[in-house]
Amino acid sequence: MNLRPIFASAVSLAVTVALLVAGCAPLAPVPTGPGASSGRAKVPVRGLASDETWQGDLRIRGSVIVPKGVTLTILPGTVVRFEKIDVDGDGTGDSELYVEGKIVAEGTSARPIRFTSAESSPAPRDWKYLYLDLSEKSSLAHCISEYAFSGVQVHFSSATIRRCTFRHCVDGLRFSTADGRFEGNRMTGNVHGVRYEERNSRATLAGNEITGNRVGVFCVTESKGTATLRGNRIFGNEQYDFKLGDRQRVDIPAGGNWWGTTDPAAIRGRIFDKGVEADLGRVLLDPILQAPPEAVEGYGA
Amino acid sequence: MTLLARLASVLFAALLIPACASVSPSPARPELAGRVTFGGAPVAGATVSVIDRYLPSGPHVATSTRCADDGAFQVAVPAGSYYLAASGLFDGKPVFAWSGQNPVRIDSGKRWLGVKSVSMPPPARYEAGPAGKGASVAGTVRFKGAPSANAHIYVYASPEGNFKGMGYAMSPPTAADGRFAIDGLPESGYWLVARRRSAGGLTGPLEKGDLFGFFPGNPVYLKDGKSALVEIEMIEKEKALSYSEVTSGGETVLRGRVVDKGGIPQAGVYAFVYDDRVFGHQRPYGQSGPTGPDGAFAIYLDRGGVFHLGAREHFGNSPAPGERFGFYDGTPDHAVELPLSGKLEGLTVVVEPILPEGK
Repeated sequence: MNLRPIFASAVSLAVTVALLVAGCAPLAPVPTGPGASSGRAKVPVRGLASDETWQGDLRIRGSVIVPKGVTLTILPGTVVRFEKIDVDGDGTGDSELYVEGKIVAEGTSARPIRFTSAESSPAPRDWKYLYLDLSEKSSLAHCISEYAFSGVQVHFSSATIRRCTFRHCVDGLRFSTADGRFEGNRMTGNVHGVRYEERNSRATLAGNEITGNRVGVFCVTESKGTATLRGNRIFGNEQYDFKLGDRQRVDIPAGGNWWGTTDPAAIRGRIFDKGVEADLGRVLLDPILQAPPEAVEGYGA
Repeated sequence: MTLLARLASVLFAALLIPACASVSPSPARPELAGRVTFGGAPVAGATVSVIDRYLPSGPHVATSTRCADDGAFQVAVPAGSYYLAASGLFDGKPVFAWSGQNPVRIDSGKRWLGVKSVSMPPPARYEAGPAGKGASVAGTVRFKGAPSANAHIYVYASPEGNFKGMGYAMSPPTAADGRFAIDGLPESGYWLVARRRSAGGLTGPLEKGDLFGFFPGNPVYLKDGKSALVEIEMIEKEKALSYSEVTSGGETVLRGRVVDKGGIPQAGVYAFVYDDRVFGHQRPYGQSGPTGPDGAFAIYLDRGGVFHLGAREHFGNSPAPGERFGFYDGTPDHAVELPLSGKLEGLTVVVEPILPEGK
């Protein structure tokens, strides 16, 4: 008998918990260095005590948490700047906006909401992410999220994200176990435009433009096709337009998308799946759209 | 040197220097005590080894002692965390034991351990492995001498993590003949542990009636192109004793209740803590047993500090839609802080199904 061993998961699903604001007064200095704060340096954390509405130009240093039962509303035109601090020294900024309650950040095409680095010369990973964890019915529209580790992460949450731009991040949009509608967004200039582990997600990824990333869509693992990917424009990404992780052995339906060409061989050459690694599943491309889908409202913020 | 060889040398040394066994432990030092049995009968004269760490060459035995005729032993140790192993002869045949409570934590006072032994299996032997498959390990898992089905063999690349969690690799469930085979491993030394959970599942604490076995020849060096053949005998897990039930020393414990949004106690849920605010896919630092009808939980910890508290319905993998899950909401980041040998009680964790339909 020669059975394959089951290798333990090393996948990181960040269920980070904490966070802190601002727009408000500067918080206490962040302890740094070995031995700080009883052996483990801490990221400053601030939890919202009740519903808040943000507008204007705000700064976050550390972690701001929107707890369960609390709603954060961000008005059009608001700019949220995340200060670059790296308490744990992992090379990724620790400032973040962490939502376990609800966030409603609905900008307009004329007045988008911006989540960005507070650095004068911003770079990817200056701050951590906008993170929805166990959040219900959150909504982002006409938002720009940039220079983060992840523009947005959605886990164990229901959310609608439409007409947003995620750029200059490691992961533009990242999700797992999510009940989300992600529509009309633009992901560009990221390492991964979209990165996901489906894990029974009922997510819909439709009508997005995913181009100019290193990898367009990265399906890491634990996916069986319960998420829907249709009507997207996925083309012009540096390495691959669609890539499967090394433990994704199940085929992934991805029909009804535009790949920048109608030539199946050319499209296949942009896909990292069973055609490259025999152990992987296959990205199922049919039907291949024969023309770019019409953008009803355009892409991104 | 394997644990098997190390235990043999310790046994030999103990026979040469019997006076060592008669030294009374200092009353001021913590003390491990218990009884080594085989099939419920005492193993007279068994050698109990207290291992404080693993070196590349094998276990480092901090101290050892010999059991009395009734299988009882006691040994004084510095406060710390140890693996307890035993070997000896029963009815003239070699036996081996690996405490089901490993790693054993002792801070002060006396901690009592029941140590059940099994027949000592032969050392690993090697044969040609499957071509092009790297290093391999294969063998048979038994319980009370009979092949055991539905057991998994966990392969650990290091002792870090105390041989818990999914390890570096894991076998599919054994068939009725108890056989397993794992290939494709890089050449290296590995620790092999077998577990069979009555309720199925791959991770989480063992419950009463579950089976586990630790190969006494650990670490086993697996060679490229070769297949190591081993036999692992399992024992049955008794009730998982809490730290407070087995020691008179101080204990560090979190206690509370798991309820739903309406305040109704939730049964069958595990409370857990992480010592890092980023949970990831790591094992929790500590967890409770399943809650009863009153939703009460207790998490016994080996140190104080800041921990992030939550509760969930299942162990292993990421929470699935419909699973009851929640965090302690007394602080924004779900953190609780407790001193060593301290108690923190009255904590409440609210759990709700993840992503219920329509939300």
